[in-house]
Amino acid sequence: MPPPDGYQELVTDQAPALFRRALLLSRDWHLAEDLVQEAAVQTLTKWGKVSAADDPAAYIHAVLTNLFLDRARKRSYSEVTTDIEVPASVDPWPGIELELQVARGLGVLGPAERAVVVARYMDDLSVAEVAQRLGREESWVRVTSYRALKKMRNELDEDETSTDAPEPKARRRWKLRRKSDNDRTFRGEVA
Amino acid sequence: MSIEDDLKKLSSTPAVPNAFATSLAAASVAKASAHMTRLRRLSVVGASVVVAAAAAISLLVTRHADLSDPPASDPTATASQSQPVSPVAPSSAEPQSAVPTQSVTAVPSATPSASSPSPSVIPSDASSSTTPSPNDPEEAATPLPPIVKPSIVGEPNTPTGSAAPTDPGTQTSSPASQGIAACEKTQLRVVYSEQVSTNSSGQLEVVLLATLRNDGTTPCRIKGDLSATLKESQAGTAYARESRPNPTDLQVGQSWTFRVNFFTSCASLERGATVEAMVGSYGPYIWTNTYRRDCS
Repeated sequence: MPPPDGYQELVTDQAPALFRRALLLSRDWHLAEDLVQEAAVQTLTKWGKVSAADDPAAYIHAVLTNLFLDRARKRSYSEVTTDIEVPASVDPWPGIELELQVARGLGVLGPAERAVVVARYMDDLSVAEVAQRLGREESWVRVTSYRALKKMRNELDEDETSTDAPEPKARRRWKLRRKSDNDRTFRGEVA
Repeated sequence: MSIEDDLKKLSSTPAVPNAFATSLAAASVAKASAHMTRLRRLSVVGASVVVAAAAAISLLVTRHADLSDPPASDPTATASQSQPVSPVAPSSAEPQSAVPTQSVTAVPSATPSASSPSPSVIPSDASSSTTPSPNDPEEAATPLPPIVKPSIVGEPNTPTGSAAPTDPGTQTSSPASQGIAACEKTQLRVVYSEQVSTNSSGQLEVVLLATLRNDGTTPCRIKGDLSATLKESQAGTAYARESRPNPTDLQVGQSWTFRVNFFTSCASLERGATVEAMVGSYGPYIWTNTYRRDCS
């Protein structure tokens, strides 16, 4: 079944930003891909509503955030990704370093805290808007945002004050780590 | 530089369209379209179930009506049709109402109805004319021909009809396989998504959703045989296999989506174990994907 008019364009246009958001939230390359696809599916199932919305792009981003939070609420969400691995088949694009760096920096936060920080500081939304998007009280958003930033500062301070380590932990973690080609026999297109 | 600075910097730089995002978008659209197609099919199946149920109910209603209704030709029958409302009022009501209703079921409707089913049954299958026993007079007297007809037609049709519907495999494979070759690597484009996570019971769960698309110039055939192997885990090796009875033909530009889902115990996994999933074309395996994940 061919997708409705405008759907493919929306997904194609928003794919980089959606993936970036998914990566920041999940800190997991593969999960981020899944989240983008699930968001695309959800958007198509409610395309009538989405196309009528003032900002369809914001809608699909909100869907992705909710999908991530729903997933994080499940009991099965127990995977701890130690580092974000970039698949060997992916060619780095300009800005990927920064995206990975921020995603790794958000690792000290819980899922809801990450959602709040991303909405507040990346989307530049007000407390009221974040509260509305996440379905929470404004006070909760304020407190969560405050605690999240404090946590991140503490983590960074710890990293920078530790002189024993040859390299700060955070910096070490933020290095772009790529898997060797031998790890993966094939990904993506068939040669 | 603090994380806040990084966030601000990131928010000020728009996401760059790149090859990965483009392929991800294509895969997402394909997945969404496949999902909607599946939903459509389900709704069609649901609608047909509803229609079948409605037909069955209407059959029951007509059967009930036929059993209780007098023939329309009888003028007294029209009078008796209003009788069921007060069937127990014998004294004041017309006494003849009891007489026609009994005679109606037996005599007048039997002759036209008994003649109508026999031509409809016999031409449908020549051999069936011998197998069903001729209707007894009392069977013919019951005004059920329109209801009995489907079941009568269905039974004798089974020997001849079974060749067509119950052998779809042979039918599809023999004519279709004549001109269709195995898919070549260069023909197939693979878009996929996978998810590796630890489920609630502490097992490593791998869900792989892949879509193969025929980008060649000729139709090809995929062996519908998927397998997933867990490597580098000597203790408690996991092996999952999903086989499909019939190969899948891929027309040019057509896609085929499959899903592999398997899991293994984390306890038996070494850290960084590799999980490999494969799909076979009509020939050798053409595609593998490996995962390297920690089981936390």
